[in-house]
Amino acid sequence: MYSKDLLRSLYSGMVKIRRFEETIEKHFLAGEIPGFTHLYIGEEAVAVGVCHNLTPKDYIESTHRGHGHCIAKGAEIKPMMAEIFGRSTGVCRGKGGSMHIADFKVGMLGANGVVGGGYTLAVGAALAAKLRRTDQVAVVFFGDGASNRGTFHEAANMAAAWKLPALFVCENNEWASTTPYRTTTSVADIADRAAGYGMPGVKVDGNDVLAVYEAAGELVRRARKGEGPALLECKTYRVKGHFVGDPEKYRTREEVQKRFSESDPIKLFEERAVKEKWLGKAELDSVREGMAAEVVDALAFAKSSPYPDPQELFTDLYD
Amino acid sequence: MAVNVLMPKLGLTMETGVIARWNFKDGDTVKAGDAIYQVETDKLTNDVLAEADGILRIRFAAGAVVPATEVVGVIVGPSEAAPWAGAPAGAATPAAHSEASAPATPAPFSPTTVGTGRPRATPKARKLAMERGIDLTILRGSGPGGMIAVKDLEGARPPRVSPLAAKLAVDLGADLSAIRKEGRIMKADVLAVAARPVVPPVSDAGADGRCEPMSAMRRAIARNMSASWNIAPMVSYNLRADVTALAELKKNLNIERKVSYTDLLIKLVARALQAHPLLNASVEGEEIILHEAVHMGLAVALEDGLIVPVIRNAESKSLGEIADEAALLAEKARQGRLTPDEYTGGTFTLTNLGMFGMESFTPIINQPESAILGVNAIVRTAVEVDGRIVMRPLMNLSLTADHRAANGAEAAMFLALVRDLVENPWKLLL
Amino acid sequence: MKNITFSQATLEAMQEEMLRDESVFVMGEDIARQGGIFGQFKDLPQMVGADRVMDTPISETAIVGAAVGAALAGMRPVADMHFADFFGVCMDEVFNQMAKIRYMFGGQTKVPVVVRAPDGMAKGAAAQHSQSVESWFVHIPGIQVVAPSNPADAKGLLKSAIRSDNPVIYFENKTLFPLKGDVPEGECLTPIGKAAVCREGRDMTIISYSAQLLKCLEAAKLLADEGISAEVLDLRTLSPLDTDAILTSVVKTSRVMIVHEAVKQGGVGAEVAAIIAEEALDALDAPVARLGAPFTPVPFSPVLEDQYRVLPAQIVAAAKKLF
Repeated sequence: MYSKDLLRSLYSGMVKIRRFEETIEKHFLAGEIPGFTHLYIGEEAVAVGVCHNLTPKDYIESTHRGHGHCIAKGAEIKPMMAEIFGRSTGVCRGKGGSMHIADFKVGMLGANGVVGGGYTLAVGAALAAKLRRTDQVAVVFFGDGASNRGTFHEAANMAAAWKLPALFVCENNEWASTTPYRTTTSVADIADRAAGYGMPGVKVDGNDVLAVYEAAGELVRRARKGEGPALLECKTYRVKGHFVGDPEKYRTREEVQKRFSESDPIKLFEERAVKEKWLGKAELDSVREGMAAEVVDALAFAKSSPYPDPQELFTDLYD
Repeated sequence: MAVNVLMPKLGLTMETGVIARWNFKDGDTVKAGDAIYQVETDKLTNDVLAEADGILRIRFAAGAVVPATEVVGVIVGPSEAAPWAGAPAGAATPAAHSEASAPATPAPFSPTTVGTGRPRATPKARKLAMERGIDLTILRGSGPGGMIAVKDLEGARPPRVSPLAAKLAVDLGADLSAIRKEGRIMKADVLAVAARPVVPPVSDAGADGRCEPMSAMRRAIARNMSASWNIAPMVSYNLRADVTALAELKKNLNIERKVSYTDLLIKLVARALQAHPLLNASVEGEEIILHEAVHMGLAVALEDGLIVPVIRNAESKSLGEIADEAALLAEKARQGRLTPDEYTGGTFTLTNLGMFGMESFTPIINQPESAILGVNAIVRTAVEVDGRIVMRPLMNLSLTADHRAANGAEAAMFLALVRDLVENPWKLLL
Repeated sequence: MKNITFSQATLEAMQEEMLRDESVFVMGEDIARQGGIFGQFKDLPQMVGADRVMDTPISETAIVGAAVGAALAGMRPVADMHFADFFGVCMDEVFNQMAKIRYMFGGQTKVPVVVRAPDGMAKGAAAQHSQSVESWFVHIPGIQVVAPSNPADAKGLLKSAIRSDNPVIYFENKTLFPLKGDVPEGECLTPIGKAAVCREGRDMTIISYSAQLLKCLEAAKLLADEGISAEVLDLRTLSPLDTDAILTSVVKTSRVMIVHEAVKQGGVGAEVAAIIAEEALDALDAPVARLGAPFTPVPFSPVLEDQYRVLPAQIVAAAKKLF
């Protein structure tokens, strides 16, 4: 039995991410956002489910598709939005943008423009926790594409060899950029690879936020107790293109719509919440409205913020 | 045995020469006596001949301005290297290996003056030379790769400048370092430099104009004429002479041998100058040097310039000797074969534009002389003789004289005497 | 003063800083049990506690990446590269992660990591264990690069690097480890970013660093016998370069030569030469001279390896060409 607070929190987390991403997409296409942007729509259950097991003192390492992780870990969305718009009030003062977003206040150690760049950093954060004898854990999110980087091997081995409090969370959204992961990946289930490192490998329906929450919870508790790292594979689907503006020549619109209609984690949650009478329709509506308003505020904040002073080019580099 | 190819010192005043062109390429085989390159000074162009058989190694490229007596190339045997090229190719010593590590070692940078004639100097030497007003082109580089280094400036004193010249330089914004002179820089030198035409920026040349650099001779003419124009207060005097008698004399002489009006004029002007030494003089500072001998300069137009060969001791030469010498010098001048002795040291100049139909002009004195006589066309003109109008061949004589040396009366008397001798050439026999 | 080896000096630095600051730890291959392959970590676990001196898997990527991650989580890691040549294995972690994180996250964090990198030619170590790769890192904004040439600076720069909030790459030439030198008693900190004149001279400046500096000092002695007074400047820090010290010496002597063990093409000497050309061209009374290794990998056979080195005699010969 789940508490109402938890259910509402899981739902509002997913809705906030969805609303945020839809807003980003709209304004990116309007030409208001520089650079590259990669959307997390359809994968919200993974970040929200995992991060509901973490405290602000725990660490996460994120990916280029990182807005969802950042929001799920508790980052304020106003400075996030401002960052994505390249403004001085951005969480990274306009120096990172969508692909390099971070919020150290909540233990979000950064998105990473390099696919597979986060594993070893998370292992280092977990090592720091172990050396300091805290109960912190470090979670690294990565995709099916990143699972093929050699960094995974070095990081997984080191974490397992040293029994570090690390959790490797694979968001298997089936697409490595524009390539179907099955054509370039040796195994169908990335969780199978955990065996090679002597750590648990768990598969879960990544579109079921409660399933993710439960599975991650078990592995996080294990890590906190000093029992070592684990690999959690969340099966999900990338609804949007690799980046905003992706012509998506590698798949059809119909295929995407069909998959999304079957697997939209928010829709699935709403149906179940109503059916199980966890949350009433009015409550769901109220959460959606609240999140929409929050995102509108964040957008207004971002768009009314100034761009950085040109002198900012030389700050935040050296002591 | 390597034989150096030098920049010849062509006359006392030559400091630098321009390598106008190489007739051979670096590495070509040359034979003793081959004209290997052409040197251009501000006065002439000369061939430099090979003194030995061998392979030519060129040190300075065409266009380089090279101090006189500097080695510009070397003639070597088949296995010899030029002394400035380092070790022969392919014999890299271990000590040099890290320098020679690139697979294709670039040709050693030639220690040449760059094509513009700018001497190679270290940046520091260049800066100091500018500050001290030292002319780099008169220095020899002993620094790395033959560059002029700071130590090469030590002996080079900044030019000595008279107080008046220094003040004038400031007033006129003249660049003292541009004055090439061994002695003390005087007012005249500054005026000469200040008068140099300012080259307009290329963009002002207009779409259909083109910019051509001056030849060395052109530069010399420009410099000398400007200097003269600026230092000498010049007065022009004109007088018409009846050449009836002179024409008669020329006609009769030509039965024996060819003489020209110019030859005759040389002879009689030399005579007149002996009577008026202030027109055969040089002003040096506050002194006037009166020359005993008449070294008669004869302006010869060239395709791309002008040169003034000199008939020495014209006053004591016979008309025949003058005619022979004038013809020879004019021919050598047109061929660019004059030696420095043959175009320096004049005391007076004769310039003839009669062949172009000129009736009057104001020639500019060829410094440091004090006067120049312009000879014009002979024009048949109606004149009054004994109350009757008759046609006579008249020739205008255009004298320009330096008022510092000769007052108007002196110049006028001289010119009148010239006319008298033209009209009564038999007086030459006296 | 005490007379100790370069290796002992680095060990003292590690010990002092680890005892001073609990957040400092060190990890690398073969350092805890073996004491480092050059003995530079000998008995360190006994001095500071075994849990802070870690033998790692042979995983340079994870070593540097984990050092960066630990720094983000508040530690001050020292990572040992075993051989500087292995930087190629973990270059992303060095230049995309370590060097960029502070800047691209808008200064939310600092990355106080030190990467120790034994470099240079040891007898016959050949192409993949002999390189001097410092110039790669001089080109990367966000990190600092130091390269001591003597025990005192080895200690002083390592301590400063550990205390620095900037990522620092600490190049330590393998041939220097056994060399002895005077090291001050007590606190010994060499400032990062400051070069040192280690021999005064009038006629020319020889700029170098790390082990090659010793060859330059030998050359300066030989030049003195020939009447040339050479000033020798030890850069000590390669990024940021001590531009003031370089220019001051060049203006003083008017002639300059830069010498390094690394390949000449694209080396640190090129940057130094360019700074001089930009800032002090008209102080020069001779072209800038550079000496470095030829543009080949480091060879194996001793005969070839000797050809590869820049020896004092060559420095002397090249110096004389400047006059």
